[in-house]
Amino acid sequence: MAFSDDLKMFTVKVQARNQAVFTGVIAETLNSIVFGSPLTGSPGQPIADIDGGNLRASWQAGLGGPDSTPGYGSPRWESNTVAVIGTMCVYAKSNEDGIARPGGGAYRLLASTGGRWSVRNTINGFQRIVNQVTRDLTGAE
Amino acid sequence: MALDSDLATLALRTRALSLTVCTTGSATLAATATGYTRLSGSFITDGFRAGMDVVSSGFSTSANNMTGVVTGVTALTLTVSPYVVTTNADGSITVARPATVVEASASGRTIAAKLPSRRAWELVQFTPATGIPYVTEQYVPGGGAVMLTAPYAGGLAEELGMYVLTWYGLSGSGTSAIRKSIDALKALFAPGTTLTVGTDRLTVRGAVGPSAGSIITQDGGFAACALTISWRAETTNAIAA
Repeated sequence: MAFSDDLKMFTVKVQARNQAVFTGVIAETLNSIVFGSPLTGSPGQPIADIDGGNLRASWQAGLGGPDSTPGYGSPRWESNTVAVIGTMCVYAKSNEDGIARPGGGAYRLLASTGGRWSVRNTINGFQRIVNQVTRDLTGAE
Repeated sequence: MALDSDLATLALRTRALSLTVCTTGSATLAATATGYTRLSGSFITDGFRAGMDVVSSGFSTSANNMTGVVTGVTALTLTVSPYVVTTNADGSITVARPATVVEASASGRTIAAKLPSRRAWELVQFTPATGIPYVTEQYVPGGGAVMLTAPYAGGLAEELGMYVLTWYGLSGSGTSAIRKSIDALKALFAPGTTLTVGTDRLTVRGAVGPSAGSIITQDGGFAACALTISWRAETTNAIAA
């Protein structure tokens, strides 16, 4: 086997691993926001019996370009955007920070059962998500 | 051991309490029936804006050493609405509105805008008063300690958390008072700011720096703006024997 064949195989393996890391990170990030995560400290979205589960179910992840992202009008796609995780739920922001917004309510009661600062905690702990997903794929401890 | 969250909260709160949004410094000021005046310098240049919560000191008449809300600003005149809030036994509040009184100009007086004197610390009973700004806090504990070095026992553990201060200013006064106050608070918690928490250190993160939200109109004549301060703390990991 020629050196060039080894290089191609290595490149494919790296690409495959990069792709696996990418999709794993997206999945774990969405999981952190919606269900909470010990990696990030995110509490997750409110449990279903508070608002019928609407907010929790509203979060989606869109991969690829703007046209493939479900449910979003004009997301801020910049040149380096590869995925979008978001919600169209009108009271998501208020549930995140506890500040009342027109049409959204304060939802402080919701926040007390989970949901406050889920997004911010996930952002803060994003590198931990990447590290953990990478570790999982490499089998490192 | 893990970071002492109670001490961390107090350290962050103490830092916030040291805030000065703007000040005249020690200046030559006079008092009137509606506020304060000066013959030189400028309240506008000093940074005062309508809607700010201010404290005055150095006046001979006690009524002029007050806490109040700025209702008007020109270069030489600061119009204020003083207040005294008393919390009653049943948790309700009584708000008095004493006025300033005429006092001749003299040096050594100071007016400053700081953290609002009305503060809703976490889990402490608080009732907002109409027309008086206030601030709330929320300490968000770290998202799980991560071992940075082996061996685990006695190794370096890291916690990532947040401290959120929400400024409730007055709607109808424009955005300047809230924006300048939040900007000053953000500068006070600049990335790299380090606080001592017992035997540990807590540092304001730079990778996810302090960020302010938009100003959101609230009921009761208030407008809220939240400042989120992300921090990192290093502690020594303790493994039970």
